[in-house]
Amino acid sequence: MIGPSFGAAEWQAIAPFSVVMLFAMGILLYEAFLGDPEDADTPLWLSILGVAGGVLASMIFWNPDSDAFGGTLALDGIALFANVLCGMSVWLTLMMARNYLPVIGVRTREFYPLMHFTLGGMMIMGGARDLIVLFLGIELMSFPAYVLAGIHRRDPRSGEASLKYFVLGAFATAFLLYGIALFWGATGATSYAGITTALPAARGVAVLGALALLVVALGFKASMAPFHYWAPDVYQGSPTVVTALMTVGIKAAAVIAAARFFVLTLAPLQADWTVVLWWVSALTMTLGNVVAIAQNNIKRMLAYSSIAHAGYLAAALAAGTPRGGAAALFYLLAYAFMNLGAFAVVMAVGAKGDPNELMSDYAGLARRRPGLAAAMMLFLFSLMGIPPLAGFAAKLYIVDALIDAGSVGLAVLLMLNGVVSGYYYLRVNVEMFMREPAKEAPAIEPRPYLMICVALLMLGTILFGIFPHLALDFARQSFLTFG
Amino acid sequence: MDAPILSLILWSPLVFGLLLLLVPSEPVAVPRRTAFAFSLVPFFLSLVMLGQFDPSVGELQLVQSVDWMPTLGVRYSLGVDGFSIWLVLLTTLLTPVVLLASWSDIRHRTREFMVFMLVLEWGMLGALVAIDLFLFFLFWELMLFPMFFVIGIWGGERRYYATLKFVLYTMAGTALMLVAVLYLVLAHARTGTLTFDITSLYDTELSRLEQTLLFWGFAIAFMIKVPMVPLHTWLADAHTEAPTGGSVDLAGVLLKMGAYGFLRFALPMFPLAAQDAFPVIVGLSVVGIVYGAMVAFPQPDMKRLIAYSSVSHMGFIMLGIYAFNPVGLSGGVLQMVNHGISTSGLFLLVGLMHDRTHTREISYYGGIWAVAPIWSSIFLVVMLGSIGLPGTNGFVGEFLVLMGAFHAHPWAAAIATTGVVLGAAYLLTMYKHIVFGPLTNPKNERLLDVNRREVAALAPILALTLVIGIYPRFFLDRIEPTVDQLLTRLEKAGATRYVTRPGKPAELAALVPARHHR
Repeated sequence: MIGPSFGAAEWQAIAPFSVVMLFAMGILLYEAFLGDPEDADTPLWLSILGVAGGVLASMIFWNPDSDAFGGTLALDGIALFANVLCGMSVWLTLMMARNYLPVIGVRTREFYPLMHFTLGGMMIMGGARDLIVLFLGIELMSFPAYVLAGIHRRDPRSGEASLKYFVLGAFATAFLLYGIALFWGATGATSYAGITTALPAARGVAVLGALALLVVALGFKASMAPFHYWAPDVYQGSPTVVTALMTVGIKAAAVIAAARFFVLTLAPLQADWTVVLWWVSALTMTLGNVVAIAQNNIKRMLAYSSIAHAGYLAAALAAGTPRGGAAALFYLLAYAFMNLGAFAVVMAVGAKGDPNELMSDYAGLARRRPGLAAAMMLFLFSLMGIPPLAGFAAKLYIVDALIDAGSVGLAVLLMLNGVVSGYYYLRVNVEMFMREPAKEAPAIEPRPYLMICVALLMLGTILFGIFPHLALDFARQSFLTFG
Repeated sequence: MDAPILSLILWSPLVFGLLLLLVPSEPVAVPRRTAFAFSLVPFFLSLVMLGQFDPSVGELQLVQSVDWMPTLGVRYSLGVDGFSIWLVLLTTLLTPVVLLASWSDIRHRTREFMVFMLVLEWGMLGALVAIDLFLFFLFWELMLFPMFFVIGIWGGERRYYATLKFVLYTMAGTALMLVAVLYLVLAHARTGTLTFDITSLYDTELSRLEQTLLFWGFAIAFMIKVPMVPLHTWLADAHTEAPTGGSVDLAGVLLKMGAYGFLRFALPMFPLAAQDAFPVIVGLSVVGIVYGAMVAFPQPDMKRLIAYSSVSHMGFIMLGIYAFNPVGLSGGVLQMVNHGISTSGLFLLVGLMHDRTHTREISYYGGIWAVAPIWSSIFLVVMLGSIGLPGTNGFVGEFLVLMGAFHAHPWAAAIATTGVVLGAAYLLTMYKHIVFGPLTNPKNERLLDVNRREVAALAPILALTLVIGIYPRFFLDRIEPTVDQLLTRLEKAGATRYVTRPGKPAELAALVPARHHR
């Protein structure tokens, strides 16, 4: 129960969220009353400042024993990880948007505060220790995302993406609420602590049903099969910068929430949900990879690849141990770097009026834009899981957690899926490095923000490949404080 | 403290490769000469290493070990022993040779080619000197990608297909190996410490079933690399489509990684499972020897023919390793080096001819001796080395392998011997068609013989063909202690069913000196 007290612990726990939200509202008001429609820089810098402030607040106020609002919200290690990861993703996508939005002709200033709102939702999800709070977080994250998907109003695909995402998202929300209701009915609690305490006695059809409904709801947000049908169209139709955020930030928030809820809260039911996630994972990664092979549009290919990676994340959770949870956290970090990087390159290659998203548009990219091609190569190799890049270390820890938990079969399947994925990631490399340019090289427009992002993401991909333990040790500790 | 010689050898190609990116790419002579000069450095460093190497010791030497990821038990550890030392030297030698010989083969993006070759050298060296399983795995996977680009950018007509096939095939094996690696490390951590150190992992306690599964997890990756029938189908395409430099590194070093993997990992880590696999491995080796030779025979394409001859020759190496006695194993290890030299030489020679005529069809040639006598005579020596004529390197290796194999499994050895005969048949036939007889194709009348640069590139290969053939003792001396140690390890683990240590007959003693008596 939420007590009447609203003390220091409460203030600290919602400090990052508050900073981000205050900035969002500030930008909205500024744009409404003072903003110059021609000036894109002020809202950008304000929002970048806001995100940085939120991340900074997380770093200052987190503590491993954080416990606020009667145990329903915390700013503990896992929440800190979520805040930094999601904050970083939003921060980078904001920078990219500065260069990308003018290219597609979107001048809507609401873009920036919407990004803040969605980040606020992610932060709540990362710290939620109560199903109702989790629900609030998911909704706060999702609604701005529905709008963002459709923000490119003149592009019918963007509208389609928005509508699809919204309708199916609403559907998933219904599942979530039914699941919460069933948990409440079976255990008499919605707080994680309460559920854990009540579970051993309450295990029955109602709890298993609730469990299934939650898998559906979170699986939807993280685009896991068989709840992934919206993903390819939404990812392809949304403006690329939004797609980048959806594949990284939203997925991260959903997986971190799932990790906390399943691994830590539902530990007594481990045997039940690991079986479910085992199948979800096997199906998701295989489907994502196999279908990605057939794609000729890079954005759609990355969409399916993103589904495949959701499968790897599900595998980490299917290990069912804190070790697996930590592996999922680290994978999300690595994935953020490499996938944002790949999307940043896709944005940089796109030109006004011509998104240049087909495989053949990448032919001979190494001749036209050697730096960009090298960056893309690095990101794709990392997505493939090639050492010594972050993607390799991340995959390694998932396999490690799976073997540790005795799930060798899933580990083998995951690695073999990596081979399948090699085919389509390498194909892009074949285009970029081995074929001759098919068309005239378009004039290079200066896109400094995108280039800075690409450089930072390359740095992260390499750094966390060579020194993965820097982040992994933290992720493990965050989980072990509960173990 | 001595200079960390292995680290210097390992990192110099990468550093030079990156430095090469700063060198202007035009005129092409600049990156060519710079790259060649750079590539000599690791070679001379590895000669220094050879000087520091103590031939009387079987354990890993010149070891260097630094903490890398302490919480995960990963260390940066390097070392060499009798299994790897000659392969390290072969790698550092072949790189300058290849760079020198590729001047007329690589005509576009020359600087990038040189960079990739140096990065490839780095990857191969890393896999050879790493004695931390994590580090080994890293380099094992890493060395694929320079080759991916080398084949894909500078290869022949079907290069996209060949390069994807090469990478995906190898990755499939590697995928299983990673699972096996982690399983092994976690199994070791159950009873001891969390470590990726190879020598500590040798003593992991595993059930028989675990051993078997892990053995195959490793072995399949290595069998693809060797390659053993039926996992060899990537080889012909990759070899044929690769540019000369790529073919040479593939044949010279990459294939050896498979056999090396058996010696370093699969056998000592899982001795009992390795013993159980005896019929499979020996059977597949023999099949590979005969099948490779028979498929090589009718090939109309010179490179394809040599590629299939590799399948056959690598079968001999595996047969030698699986003889489980000192003679066969030493022969197998030496034959790894020999095959690296001979096949690289053949690919180089064919490549030089291809630069001039732009065809690899055997039928295009005939009577080449009349126009290119130097090329033809170098070709003759290298080819005879590959066949195994007494006095050349191939003879020593194959003889020891067969000697060991006869002791261990006479029937397999008897069948394998036909591979020697077939090998002579297809190589001599090819040689006859290309070199002897009247000059059949008028287009060849103005064919240029090899120039001085090309002779310089071929000279070390020619020299080693004869040196190893005449004085193998120097090489075997450094191999045998490590072989002895491997056999001791197998015996200690109880995998004694096939291990034999026959007394050395007088004839053999002349060839294989008893090291302890000197």
